[in-house]
Order: sequence, then C-alpha cells, then structure tokens
Amino acid sequence: MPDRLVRAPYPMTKVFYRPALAQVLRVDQLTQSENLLALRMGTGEPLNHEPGQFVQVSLFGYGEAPISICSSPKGKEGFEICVREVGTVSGAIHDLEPGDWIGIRGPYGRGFPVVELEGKDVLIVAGGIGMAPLRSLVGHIRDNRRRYGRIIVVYGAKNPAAILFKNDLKVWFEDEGIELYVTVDSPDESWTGRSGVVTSIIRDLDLGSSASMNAVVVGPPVMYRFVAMELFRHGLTEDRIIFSLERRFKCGIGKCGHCQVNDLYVCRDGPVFRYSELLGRSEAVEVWAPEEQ
Amino acid sequence: MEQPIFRAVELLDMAVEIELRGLEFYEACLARAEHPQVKQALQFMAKEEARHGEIFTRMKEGQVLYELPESYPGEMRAYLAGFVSDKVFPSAEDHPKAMSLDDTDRVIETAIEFEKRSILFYSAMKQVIRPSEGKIVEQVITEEHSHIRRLLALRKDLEGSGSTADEGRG
Repeated sequence: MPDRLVRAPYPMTKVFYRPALAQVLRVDQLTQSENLLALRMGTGEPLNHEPGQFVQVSLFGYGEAPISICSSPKGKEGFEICVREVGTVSGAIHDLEPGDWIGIRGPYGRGFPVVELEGKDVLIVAGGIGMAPLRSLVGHIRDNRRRYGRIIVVYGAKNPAAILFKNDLKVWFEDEGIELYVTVDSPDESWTGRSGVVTSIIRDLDLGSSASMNAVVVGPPVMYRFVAMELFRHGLTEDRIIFSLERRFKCGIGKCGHCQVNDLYVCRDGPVFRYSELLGRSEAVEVWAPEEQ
Repeated sequence: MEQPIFRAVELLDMAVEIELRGLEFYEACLARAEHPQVKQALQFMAKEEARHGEIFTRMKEGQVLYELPESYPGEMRAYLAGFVSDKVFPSAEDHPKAMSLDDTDRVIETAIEFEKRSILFYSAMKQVIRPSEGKIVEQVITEEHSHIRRLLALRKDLEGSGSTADEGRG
C-alpha cells in the first residue's frame, strides 16, 4: 500500500481563482529558449512560497500556465520564475519586458520537505529545466546552511548551450559547502567538463554512509527511473527519494482533475512526492511500471 | 526494492544495447588481434552479438510500446545506454585490458564470462520488471544460455582443429 500523504495546507490566497497583479522587474536571457523573470507582487508583499511550489502565471488574451518558482523564499525584493518558450502562453511570458504586469495565482502545491531534510545529507539531482525548482531549494539551503548536512548537486543538461543558471553554478562551484557536478549529454568542442547523463555521475559518487542521505530529483520524465536505480544501488530506500512530478496543472488547487494521478491531485498533493508515496499508483508512469489497474 | 520499475519492452531495448556494445567490443578486439584462430573466434563472437541483437529486436515486435515523452530526441536511449554501460561489457577505454588476445582459450573464457554477467544482469532485472512480463525476461536469459553453449561448441571445434594462438606465434 502506498504511504499516506501529508497534505499541504491550502494556499493563503482567500479567493483561489482570482489572480493578483505582479510586475516584471528584470528579464535575463538564460539560454535561447529560457528566460529568468524577476517579479514583485503589486501589493509589495512577499509571495511566501516554499521551495518546490509553483505559481499560475496569466497574461490577458493569452491564458495561464503553471511555472515553478526558482528563487529562495528569503528574497525580499520579490521572486523569480524561469520560463521555457514552448507554447502560446509561455511564449508571451517569454517576451515580457521590465515594467510589464502579469497575473499570479498561488503559490500552490506541496514543496520540498525542507524541515524534514534538516540535519540530513541531501543529494540534489536536476535534469534540464528541472533545475528551476531545485535552484529554489539550493538557495534555501545556502540561506540556512548550518541546518543541513552534506549537500551534493548533480546537474545534467542536453548540451553546453542548454545549461541554465550559469552564474549561480559559478557561485555554487566556489561554495565549499556544496559539491557540484555538471554534465552534458551531448558535449561540443567547447566543452571541457563531464559528459554523459546524470546517472553516470551518481554511479561514481562516494555517498559514504547513506543512512542520512536523502535525494531530491527533478528532471525529464525518462530520467526518474534510471536515477532511482542508481540511488537504490547506493542503498537509498523509496522513502528517502523525493521526486517532483510535472503534469498539466490547470486550476492549481485540486479541483479540475487535469493533473490527477490515481487518487492524487499533483497540483495540490504534490508536485513533490516521496517515491514511497507513488508506489501503488499506476498513473505515476514516469517513476515505475505497475500493472494497469 | 522489488517494485516493477521497467517494462519488458524496455528490457529488450537494454538487451539490444548490450549486444551492440558487445559487437563494438569484439570488433575492437578484432582490429588488434593477430593470430588467425583468435581472429576466427572474435569474428564468431561479433556475429553472435549481431545475431542476438536481431533476435531481441524481433522479440520487441508484438510488445506494447511504452514511450515517455523525451525532452530531446534520443534522450531515452542516452539513459538506457548509460544504465547498461557497465553491466556486461567494458567501456571503450577499457577495451584493451579487458581481454587478452594471446590465447584462443582465454578469449572464449572471457566471452563466456561476459555472457554469465549478462545472465546475472537479466536475472536481477527480473525483480524490477512487471511480473506479468517475466516470461520475456526468461526468454532473454534462455538466449544468453544458448550463446554460452555456442561458445563452448566453438572451443571444442577449435581444439579439434589443432594449433592454439600461442603455438601459432611460436
């Protein structure tokens, strides 16, 4: 039987479905298809998010899209989102400029268990744009470094041009409190770092005693099971492997069912789950292969 | 950890990938080999890898395809290849030290050792394949057993044919 879930409290927003205005403070191009937007709520109040949560971003005339918050909760100025241009809404958000206004609902969902992870070693595995929510977690850990044990970050990108948050990676690389490994699946002539998928790095890691190690994994759907297999080899159990699932969130508050995985609403009960919570749920297709029920 | 994590069709993809690595390995050995009998054995092994790759590819026919969305073309193959990379055959950089090419007997012994490793791998994988698809894993293991039998037969044939590699070079 799957583990029981500890459900996230409902968001603080009183009227769930009405967006609040937020202003674009800054736009940084990270790659050819990803921009980093710094935003501030129109009220001037902080978003009060947890690492791993998301917001529903709306643009009048275009629609609404769920986007992970990628900044540490400590940021007083506002918060940041990383947007990949893949469709109409994300394309329009991608084209925003400083001073523009957008709609924000949230923050929504259950984030990473940052309190439970205190005092523990944490292996953070990011694939592609999965680094966006994990940047928020790394930022939170760096802001509260003494509360956590050994921190290892493994990040894999498709190729050198697709590496996100290069400025942050430089800072993390210099940070003695973080062991950072970056790899690309397809290196080009300019690349002198590691190549291969993230599992090739995890396989070679010396995790020491894995008793206090927890892994937090966010990446493309095909990545999860292979990462899990390597983590099992290191002695991690399903309750110490944490995934964040991606689904088509529409309402963001567990009403519409677009993101349903068996009895779970990923937008409300997740998107962060322990692996043990997903076992037994046949629709969590990216993390295991149960018989159809 | 005994949950069904993979589907049989994915195991067959892994099997095809392993056979491809085997083919590359034996062809690399062949390029370095000097003695005719060692070359003959390596040619046989390379052919066997190719033949088995075809068998496993055929076994995929009729299986329910299972394709998660890729974030770029070839992503699944990259993870799959990474997963099996150290399971049976050595990586390309370890090719030269993985097999001594001086003695036909030792070449065949090493090849048998690789087949045994593959059987161990597939047996372990059976624990994480859907129970209803366990028969397919058994078929893959049976194929690998037949591969060992063919290698043993090859050794017998070559013994019967006379000279060993060491004798030939002397």
